[in-house]
Amino acid sequence: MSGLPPIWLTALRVLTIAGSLLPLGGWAMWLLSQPAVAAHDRLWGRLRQQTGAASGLALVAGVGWLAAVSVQLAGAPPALGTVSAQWSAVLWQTAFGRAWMLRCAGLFSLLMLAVPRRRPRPVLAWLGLAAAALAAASLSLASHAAAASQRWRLFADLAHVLAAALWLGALPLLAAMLYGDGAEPARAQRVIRRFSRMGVVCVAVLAFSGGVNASPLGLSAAVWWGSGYGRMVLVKIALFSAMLGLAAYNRWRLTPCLAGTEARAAMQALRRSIGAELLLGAVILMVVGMLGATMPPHTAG
Amino acid sequence: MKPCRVWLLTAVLAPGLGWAHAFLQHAAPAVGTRVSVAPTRLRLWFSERLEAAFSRVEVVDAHGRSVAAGPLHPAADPEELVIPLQQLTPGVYRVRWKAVSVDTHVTRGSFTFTVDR
Repeated sequence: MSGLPPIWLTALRVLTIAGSLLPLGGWAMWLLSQPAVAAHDRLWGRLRQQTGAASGLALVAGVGWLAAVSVQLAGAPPALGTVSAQWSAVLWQTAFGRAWMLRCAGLFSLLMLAVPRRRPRPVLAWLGLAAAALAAASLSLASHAAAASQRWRLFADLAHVLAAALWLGALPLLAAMLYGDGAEPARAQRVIRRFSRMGVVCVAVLAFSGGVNASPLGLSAAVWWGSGYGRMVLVKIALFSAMLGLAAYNRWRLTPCLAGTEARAAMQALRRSIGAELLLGAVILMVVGMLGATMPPHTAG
Repeated sequence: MKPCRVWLLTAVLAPGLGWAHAFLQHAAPAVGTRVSVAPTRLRLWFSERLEAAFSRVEVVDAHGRSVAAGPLHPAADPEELVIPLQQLTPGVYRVRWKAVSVDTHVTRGSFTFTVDR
């Protein structure tokens, strides 16, 4: 049995995942916001930044990830002059390699689409959405779910990845409408309501597919409470539930206030609430980091 | 919103971050068994889908001499590894395997089987 994954390999993996997920929600949010904030050029600038930073990071970290996986699979670093042969074998003969190439295609397309300063025509925005979906979906193709015997777990994982990417990637653009001098409460409210409709679907998909992904753990209390892995999953679920609670508070308590006399105060409260959500997210990241190095109990035998 | 926080949140909710492994489910000849007829091939079934190009199986005799090692024969089942065997003489054989699952995680193990006289 192999040991725990090295921390740097985990870091490269997490950076690639983060960079590949983030663009999808951004482009979806851009399309959702169009009629409401057609004149809001700052939003396109924010999406360009988000797309460029995320895609660039994912591409750079992805090269490191490919190198690390190549060494891991071969069992040793390649001799001088054999790097291309080793990488070629990984790229063409493994699901990881094929997913890696698909991801690069999506990320490069996104970088190209984010170059122009002028806002894109709708067809290009839809193309950006498709490229971002490709980049995000590629993460599932060499995931643990892809290795599982049951193919339905791969489809559940794909749904989970896309829903997470849509939801999380939309947050930066949502935040851009709440920060800065150009923040306009009524406009933000219109877009937040559209985001909420997408968010409800995303949360439902996340909850269902998350349940499917966790189903191998079963319902045994001994598995959930008696193993480190199970306890960490429970902590993650609790933290995620807290984030959902904040999201619901934002949607049903604060967002309606954006149209009232206390609109500015509501925007401040929304900013604080998003900050709290992000803090919870940071804690969840630590839990996930530990999960990544822990053997699931159902396979521990 | 600080960009670093967005990265953190994104990574937090990324699914499939759990590292799991391919474990040997069963084998033919079976683990620890005695067989009266020397097998012509060794088959190993694992708990996950495998990357055959990077997985390895080696069979050594009681003296540690390798009597069979990759390349692996393609198997219809993505969770199976197959390696052809030469005519084995009676004795104890140790199988050492390295399995690479589709999520690129590597597991190793070994077991023995005996070919009776």
